[in-house]
Amino acid sequence: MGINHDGLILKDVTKVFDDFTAIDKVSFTASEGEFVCIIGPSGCGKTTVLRLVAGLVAPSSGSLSINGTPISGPGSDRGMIFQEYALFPWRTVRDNVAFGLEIKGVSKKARDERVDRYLRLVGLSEFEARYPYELSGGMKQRVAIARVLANEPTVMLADEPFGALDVQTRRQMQEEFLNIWKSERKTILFVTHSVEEAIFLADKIVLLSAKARSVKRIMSVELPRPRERLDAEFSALHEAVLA
Amino acid sequence: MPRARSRRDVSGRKSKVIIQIAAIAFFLLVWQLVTMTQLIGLPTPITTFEAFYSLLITPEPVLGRTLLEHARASITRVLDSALIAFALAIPLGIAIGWYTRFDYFASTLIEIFRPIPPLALIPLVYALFMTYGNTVLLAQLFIVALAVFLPTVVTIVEGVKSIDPIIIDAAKTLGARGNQLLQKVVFYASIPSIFAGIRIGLGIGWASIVAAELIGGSGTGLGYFIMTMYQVGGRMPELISGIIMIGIIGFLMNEGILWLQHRVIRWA
Repeated sequence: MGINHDGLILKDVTKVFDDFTAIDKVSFTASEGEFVCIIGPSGCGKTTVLRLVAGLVAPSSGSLSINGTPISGPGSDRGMIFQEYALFPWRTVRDNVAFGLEIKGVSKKARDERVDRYLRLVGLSEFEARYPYELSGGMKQRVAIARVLANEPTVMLADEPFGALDVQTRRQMQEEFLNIWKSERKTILFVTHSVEEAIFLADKIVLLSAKARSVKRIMSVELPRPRERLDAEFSALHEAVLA
Repeated sequence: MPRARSRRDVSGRKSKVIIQIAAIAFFLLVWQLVTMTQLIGLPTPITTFEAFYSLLITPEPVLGRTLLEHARASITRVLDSALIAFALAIPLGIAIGWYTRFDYFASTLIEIFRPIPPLALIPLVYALFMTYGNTVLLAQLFIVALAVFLPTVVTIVEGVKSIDPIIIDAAKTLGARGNQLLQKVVFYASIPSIFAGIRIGLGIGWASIVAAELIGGSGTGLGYFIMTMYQVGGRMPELISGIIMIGIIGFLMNEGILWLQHRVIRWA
């Protein structure tokens, strides 16, 4: 195989459902600690790419690997955040975050410590006894983020995680998510249909095309952080992505 | 947000009780009006409730038991059968709903048996248990258990199938596999439909035990009481008292399950 085994590598990944081609020969990489956004119009296969990396579906052809190990099914090394939050409604905030550690059989004491740490990181310590139905959308998504982080994955997958939030909450969540990424240094694969969101967050943008169902362009975002949406360079990049 | 929700719940509960009382008053009024037309031989509500009240505390002379004793006999039978039925229906319902191949197998059989009214099986079941000493009781338990089992299992199967797949995906990406998925996710996600199944099953079970008692030489039970009151010469106030008792107990069973459901499901 190739020389570089670092990070996440997708090579000619194709997924066909029955007779419908969801994605066709998608190739890109995400090196360790890199923030990669996948953007493209509705129905271009963005979510399928994430589900393939999560191992929730198997590719029809092509290969996916993390640090040289092929992906062959779901695993706690790849945590996923969903637009619909996907919290367990029968578990409190604390027990939602503890879920993955319970599954792994981590001792109660170690579990509590780790859960405390990530609840603090997302600012939800005082809401730990609440049930999901008692939380706002932004809080629910914070729980989902803490739930994934508690598992200490190498890759975090996010499927339009802030798509259901109002603009203000969305911007706040983007800032917080960047801070978490900086402190935890995970590789991130983040699907969005907002060019602005992608430029604000990403090191690298993978642009998918709806027609070809494949990678149209890969662009790196060199702007220094914190990024300002009103900057000329930001707008220029915005135009460039849409071009 | 939670506070506003609970305030609405309290005023909602108050108006619910008022409307429920109004519904009963409406029914009694219609009943009274029908007796006043004298078109059918219906006793008035007052006459009936006098009989009902005295039957609660004094034994009815033909069978020598109070209405409460008959009610207890019926309740005991239906609960015994229902417990057996639920013990089978809950794990089976979850397994059928979760494992597609098992669903193809089990649902074929369930859908063949489901259209058969359990009461149509009474003669057959009596004949099957003929050689046992307590034929009547065994047959009643069997029929009621079957009557409870089928709707309960079908409700739970539908509930498991309608679990939001994204919850399952989330659990998988958090590392859950096979049995962990079943025990820590599918089971909990099915709890609302388990309660729905129990409620439907118990309602149908209650209706069938009374019907099963109508036929056999049961000796006790509300169904047997009603049938006897008819056979000794159409004693209407007693007969209707038995029917009212059936309704009250059915209503209370339903409310009891709803209460329990409210206790258990604190997350919605």
